[in-house]
Amino acid sequence: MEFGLPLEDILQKLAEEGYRISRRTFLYYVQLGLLPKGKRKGQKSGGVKFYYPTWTLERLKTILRLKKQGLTLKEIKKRLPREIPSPLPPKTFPQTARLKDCNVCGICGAICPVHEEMDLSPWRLIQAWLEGPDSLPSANTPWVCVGCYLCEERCPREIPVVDFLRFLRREGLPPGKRWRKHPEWSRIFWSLLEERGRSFDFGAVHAYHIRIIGSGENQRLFLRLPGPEGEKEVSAPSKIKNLSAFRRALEHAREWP
Amino acid sequence: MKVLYYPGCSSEHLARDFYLSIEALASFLALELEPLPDWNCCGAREIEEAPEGVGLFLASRNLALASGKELLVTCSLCFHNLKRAQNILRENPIWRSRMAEVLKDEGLELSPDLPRILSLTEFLTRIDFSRFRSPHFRGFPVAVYYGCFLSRPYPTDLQALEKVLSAAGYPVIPTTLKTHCCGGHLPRTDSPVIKNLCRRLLFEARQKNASGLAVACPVCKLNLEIYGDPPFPVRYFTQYLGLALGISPSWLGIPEEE
Repeated sequence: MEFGLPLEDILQKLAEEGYRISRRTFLYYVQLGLLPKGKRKGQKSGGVKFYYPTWTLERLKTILRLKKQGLTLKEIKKRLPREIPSPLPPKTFPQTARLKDCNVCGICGAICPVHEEMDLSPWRLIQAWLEGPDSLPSANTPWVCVGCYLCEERCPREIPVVDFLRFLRREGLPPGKRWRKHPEWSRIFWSLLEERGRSFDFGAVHAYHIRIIGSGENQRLFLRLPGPEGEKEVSAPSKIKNLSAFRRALEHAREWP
Repeated sequence: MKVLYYPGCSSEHLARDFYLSIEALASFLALELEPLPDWNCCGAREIEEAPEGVGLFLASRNLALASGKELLVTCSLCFHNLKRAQNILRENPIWRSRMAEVLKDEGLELSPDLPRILSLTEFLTRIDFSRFRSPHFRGFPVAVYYGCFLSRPYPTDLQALEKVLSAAGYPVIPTTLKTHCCGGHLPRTDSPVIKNLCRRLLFEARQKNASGLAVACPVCKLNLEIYGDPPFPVRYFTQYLGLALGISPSWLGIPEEE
């Protein structure tokens, strides 16, 4: 949470540690540019609260300590790092501006072939995201999306719905709100890809229940087929030629966020 | 003219029959099709949770290996992944230079204008199948099904299957759900949703008196076979084409008892 603490919480925490500062003084410091500006956020109960980055607390403590030493606010401002440390950049969806075009018509949810499996319709997530990343509820929607692009095709405002869900799945949601689809398959998929350069469309065979015995050269894969055939052993995919160079390049490609 | 093609991981297992029928067609029609040497996995659906660079690298490596002007892609999901990566490389110079740097680790290079990515459906429209039809073949009505990735978001020719199959002698029955979704990689496999989607597709084909459904995507075929209830004949369009040319079913990956 980048804009995590409301003013009241900051003051209370300081009071617990023995610092004394009034709300008015706090706001004065903000006005002077000693503290960062807060982010306005509507409350469910009505009214508005201002939220400040968590590092505000440390900065305020430094200010109060320096003040105790008898420095004036002007001197303190000079001593503090000129650049207010920027909070970890919130993961932003590059096309957020286009999401603002959403007119809440609900077609994306209605046309979605798998909407019955979703906790929330895509448009609800779009609206929540526009409210602020922290408002995003925990929902399985990004993981259920099969990527058929019907919603994007039908969206009257040409909103990149699939890209947005992809973004939520990849990086937009904090760990607590993530929903692991099938960690075991993911692990097998990537380990085969690294070992051989080729893998197996596990997404497609998830219905088959894969069983793996051994590793490396002795690895054996079994698929359990629906129907009378029962279980069937399949060979692991063939290898590409220069695996060490491939692995190096794959590692290299992981560098960029 | 030699054409390189990207078979994808499914060609080794799930879509073995697709692969066999493509090879059979190629040798029968003397097409110079050649699998892309040393191709690697495109990352399937898993790249969506990996950093963007990983998916782009997996696709870029294949694009760099395909030094020619065209790269034929047989699997729909691979087609989507490669096409998407190609678009990003063309539009975003930052990703392009990053990929050039990564590919150097393997001594590979991207050609200035990347190869044109072709779907198998479009590629086969270049061939006039009416010339090769077996005189003993009697066509039966089939419906066609493209699935998602050949229709969206990078649409291919959505009359391609109709063109080749009717030239090969099949009366093609028009359907309204030909570009709809089969449920794809829905994570919950016991879900009634995926069953309903598959049943609906087969229901339409059956209601319109088709004797079979011609598909172009390995995942669609798998879903329709597993979840389609009651069972209905679903084959790759290349298998239907092969039958019309008089190729033996076993060459096309069609089990003998059928």
